[in-house]
Amino acid sequence: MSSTIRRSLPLVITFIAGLLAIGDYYFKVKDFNDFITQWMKFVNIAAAFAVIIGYVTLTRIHARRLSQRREGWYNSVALLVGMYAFYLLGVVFSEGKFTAHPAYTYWFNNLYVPLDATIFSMLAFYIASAAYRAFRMRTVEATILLVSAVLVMLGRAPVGPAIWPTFGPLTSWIMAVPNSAGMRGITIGIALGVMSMGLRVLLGRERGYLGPGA
Amino acid sequence: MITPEIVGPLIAAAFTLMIYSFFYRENKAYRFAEHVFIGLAVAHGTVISSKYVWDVALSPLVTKGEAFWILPILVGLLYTFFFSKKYFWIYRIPISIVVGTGVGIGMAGLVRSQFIDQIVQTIAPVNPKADIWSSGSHPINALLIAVGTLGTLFFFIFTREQKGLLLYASQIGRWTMMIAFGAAFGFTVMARMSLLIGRMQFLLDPKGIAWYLIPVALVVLAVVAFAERSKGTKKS
Amino acid sequence: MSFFDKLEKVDPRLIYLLVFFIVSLPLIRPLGLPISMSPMTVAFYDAVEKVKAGDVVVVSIDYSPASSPEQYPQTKAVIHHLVTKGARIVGLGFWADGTPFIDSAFKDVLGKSKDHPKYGTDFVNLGWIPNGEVGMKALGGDVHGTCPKDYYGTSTPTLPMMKDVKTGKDFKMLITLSSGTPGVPEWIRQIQAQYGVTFLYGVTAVSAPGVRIYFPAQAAGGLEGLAGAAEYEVLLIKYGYTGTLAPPMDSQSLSHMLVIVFIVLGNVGYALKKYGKAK
Repeated sequence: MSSTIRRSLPLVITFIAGLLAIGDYYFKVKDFNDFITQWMKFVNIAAAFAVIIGYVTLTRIHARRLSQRREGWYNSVALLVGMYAFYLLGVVFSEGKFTAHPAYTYWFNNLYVPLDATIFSMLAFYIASAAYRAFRMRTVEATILLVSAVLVMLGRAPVGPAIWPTFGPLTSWIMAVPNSAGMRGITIGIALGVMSMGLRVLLGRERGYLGPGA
Repeated sequence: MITPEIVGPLIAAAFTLMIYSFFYRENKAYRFAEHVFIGLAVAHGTVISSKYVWDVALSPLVTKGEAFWILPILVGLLYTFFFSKKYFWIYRIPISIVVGTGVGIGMAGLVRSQFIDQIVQTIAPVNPKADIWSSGSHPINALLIAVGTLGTLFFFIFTREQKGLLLYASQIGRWTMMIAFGAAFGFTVMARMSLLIGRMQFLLDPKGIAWYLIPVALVVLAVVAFAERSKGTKKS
Repeated sequence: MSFFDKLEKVDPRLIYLLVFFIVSLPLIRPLGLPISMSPMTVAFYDAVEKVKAGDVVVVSIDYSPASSPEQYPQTKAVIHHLVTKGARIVGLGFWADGTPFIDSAFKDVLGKSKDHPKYGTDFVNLGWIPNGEVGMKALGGDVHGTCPKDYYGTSTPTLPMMKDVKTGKDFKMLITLSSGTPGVPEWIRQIQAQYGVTFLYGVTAVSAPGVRIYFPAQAAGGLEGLAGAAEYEVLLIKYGYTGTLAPPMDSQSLSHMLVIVFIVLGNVGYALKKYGKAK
């Protein structure tokens, strides 16, 4: 296939797919809307296959690390064993129940959930350390930010209203008024930015999503 | 009696403590636990995707002979061309479909819910009887929200030099955003601490058995620290 | 080296140890601080109170295990409240690693999930739907086609309560428990705005400031983080709900005080240094 078609075909597909989605939102014609509903299911199925890339890439990287006995190769063994054992448990040995199989649920609850939760809980230590080392009232704006943060931290935990009952309503006011105002302005700005970026993607001016060499 | 109800929480506690050992210093136990997690995460995503594809497409294709479903499966399999140097461009076809559809859907919905509705809410009718501490429709609060929202929007005007009225409006926007970001930071602290509290609840639950591993972990840590100190003293 | 210079150079591991102790102590010996109410939680509760027996309520689990300490308590409390009101619950999710929590929540609240005698008539678990916002749009257009089988492999149209639930128009209420994308804005765009469904959210505290802008026009109420879950538990005491979040909220209080002390200490030292140099 010529290189022009190879470069243009994905852009044309993006444009048509986007138009179909936008058209469904604005045009209420039963046959067209029913077709788009079926089309969405089609897209859902196609999108579900994207996990293959992650699976194969990780296998390649860690199998290479293992075969070359690079530093920490035993961690690659742990990764590959975990990946394939969990997959086999969920797809091959689950008697058609997939994630609903009791054995899968057992390992999900006792291995995956604790690991995921613990890794993210490490952030609590880092935020405390950052509060101690880095958060300085160097400017007026930084002072406003930190005062607001302190008021919200006091108001949303039981200790604040226990010290002074007005901390609670003060926090509610901060959230209802200045927070809403700031976030609303940012959201409107983001909406404008997303619309312009979306137009660029649909019209083929933005090709980053297609990967290298697009 | 060793039962799965005892082994499961012990495994969970062991991996939790392996991750927390990172706070002493980077070590092999942490790396091992981290790699296990990555493998499980990718596998879980694949298992649940496999179930969806089976339920929606493969099962009707195989059991009811609905040939239509071969099309999305074939399009999905085009992702595998990611690994080909010569036919890499074919991988862009399913990407285009998914991205185009997502962008179209996002843009269409965004105009109303995150643009028009937000502007409408900013100029919505006020209610003098609303609670001043919590309601944005109280007249004073509504005015402050309108001023703050406009100020924030003016802050992001970079196509004109910010001077005069524009500068003052932009300054109001800066202060409004600083209060909003301060609130965001306060809530972020709350969220992060909640995650840690959840793990500590699990580890310290007196009805569970996870807490048995804490003294074991402390002893291991003490032995490692002592061994390191001794190595350090011997070298010097 | 001055006292504040020494404090600035303290080993971070001492800070981590201090955080560990401050968070752990109230879990071992609770302080019993009263939990104050947020207007957002009250609004959420009031909205669910208006649910009538038989109303179809979609509960979407859009969080990962990383946010489960905050959001799983929200999930259990929400399901308990809906069961008390006699709602028909449709559980589903758009986050792959959050979907198993639907099954766990039904088991924790009702004792059983798939094997419960009322599974299929009073509640169902439709499992995971891929592709985020596109999946939400597909769900709104055709529920049975988007989820032909439930989480346990049963054909969706054969479940008795699903005969009445075919499109987004059949949802009386939508509750998302979300910690990111896809989450609140996506649901508002694809379901709340399209079908006028009453929409509620429970979010992790990080997301709370950003989604506040949707209240009250698009979202009728919200639970904000662990505090929101604890407040909701207090409101559900009248329905016999036994909450477990009082000691964690004490931990939350002490940890917030610790962070505030750190911020103050750090800035006092900074100000003294700056003032000392200026002299």
